[in-house]
Amino acid sequence: MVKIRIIQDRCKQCMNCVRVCTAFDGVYEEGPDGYPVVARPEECVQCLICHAVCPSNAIVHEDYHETVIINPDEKLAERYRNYI
Amino acid sequence: MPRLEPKDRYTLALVPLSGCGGCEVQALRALALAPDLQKRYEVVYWPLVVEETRLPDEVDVALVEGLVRTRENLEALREIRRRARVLIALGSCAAWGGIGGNADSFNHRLSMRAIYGVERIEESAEILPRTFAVTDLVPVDYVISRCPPPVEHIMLTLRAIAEGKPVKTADSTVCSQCPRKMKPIEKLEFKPGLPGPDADPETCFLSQGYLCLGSVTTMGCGAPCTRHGIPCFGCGGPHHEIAERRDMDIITALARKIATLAGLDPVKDLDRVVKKLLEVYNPRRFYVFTFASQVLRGKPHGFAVKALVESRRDPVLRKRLEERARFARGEAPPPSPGGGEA
Repeated sequence: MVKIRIIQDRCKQCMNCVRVCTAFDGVYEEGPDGYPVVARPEECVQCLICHAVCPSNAIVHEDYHETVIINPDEKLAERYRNYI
Repeated sequence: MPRLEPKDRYTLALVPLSGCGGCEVQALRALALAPDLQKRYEVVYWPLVVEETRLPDEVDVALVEGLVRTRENLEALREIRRRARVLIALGSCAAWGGIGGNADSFNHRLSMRAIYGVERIEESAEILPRTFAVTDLVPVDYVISRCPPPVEHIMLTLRAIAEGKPVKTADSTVCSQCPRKMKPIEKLEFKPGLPGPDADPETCFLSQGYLCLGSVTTMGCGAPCTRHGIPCFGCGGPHHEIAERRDMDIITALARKIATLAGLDPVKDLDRVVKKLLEVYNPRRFYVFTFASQVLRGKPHGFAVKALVESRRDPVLRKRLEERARFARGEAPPPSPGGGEA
């Protein structure tokens, strides 16, 4: 599961992330101290629109899915050449 | 990142191109305030500081200040890149084009005629048809942005290079250091010009409807302008994500933030907010320090190119230039200062 961290030193408390979240229930909620809190991280669909609208880059997504494109190396590709 | 072989003393050169010289003074202050840097670096070429007039064959660390305006600048820049191991672009002009990049608002022949009365002076340097930032022309190892670059940034960079360590960087914006409170925008409208005495000193400029580039400008200054009632003009250059990503530009990134503050959708209502922004502000206003940068001119929306074309076609600016040219040739009285605001 993705881990979301809000760096409070940078946060401007503008609640842009609360307003913009595209997940069904919304990942963020306004906390009691005025800072947004990550209430439902399991809802996150990793669209990262919150990064685009955060004025101070205070949101950090950790361990989100990275797509790996598998390419064989040259040696392996050389072996395929003989099959045809 | 280039690594220098460990040595007691590295050679340092500073090459000034077309610029105001403010970055040179900041670099001098950095060396003056840090005695450890004076021990580690030996200045071999720096017109402001040493008498040496020829560039040495090999330099360990070279700083470049200013932007490329003439052919001499271009040759000097290529020469220093060939000879230097580590090249640092110092200041907004070298990094993004800076204030000097606004020279592109006019045709260079027209500007020459307006100032000297002739298109070309025989003994003077050849002016290139457009201005270039240093980072657009040669590969640069480090960029110390801002106008002027803070002394601490220069000290940190030179110290880290001397010790062979990577330089620490932060990836936030000016907003993170600004003390003003961000509030939601109730009605989406923009006020032209700078905030007057009626502006609230505690509230964010964007929330009040003034244009402030703090949320798209890279951090490192401590937000002194917004603390004193002046909105951010973006002297540090755009945040690195805006510079790197193809789908981002200064205007679109700012419009996304403003749209969300106003309770709109940052994707669906983006065009509406951009249109509203451009109705009130001249597109040049967003590129005060980045007008010459090829990085921003190459963006798919092309707002920077649009700003360039609009200012070159601006009838008011053209009329002022022609008036000035007639005055330079001695055919007309001096043009009235301040008239014909663009």
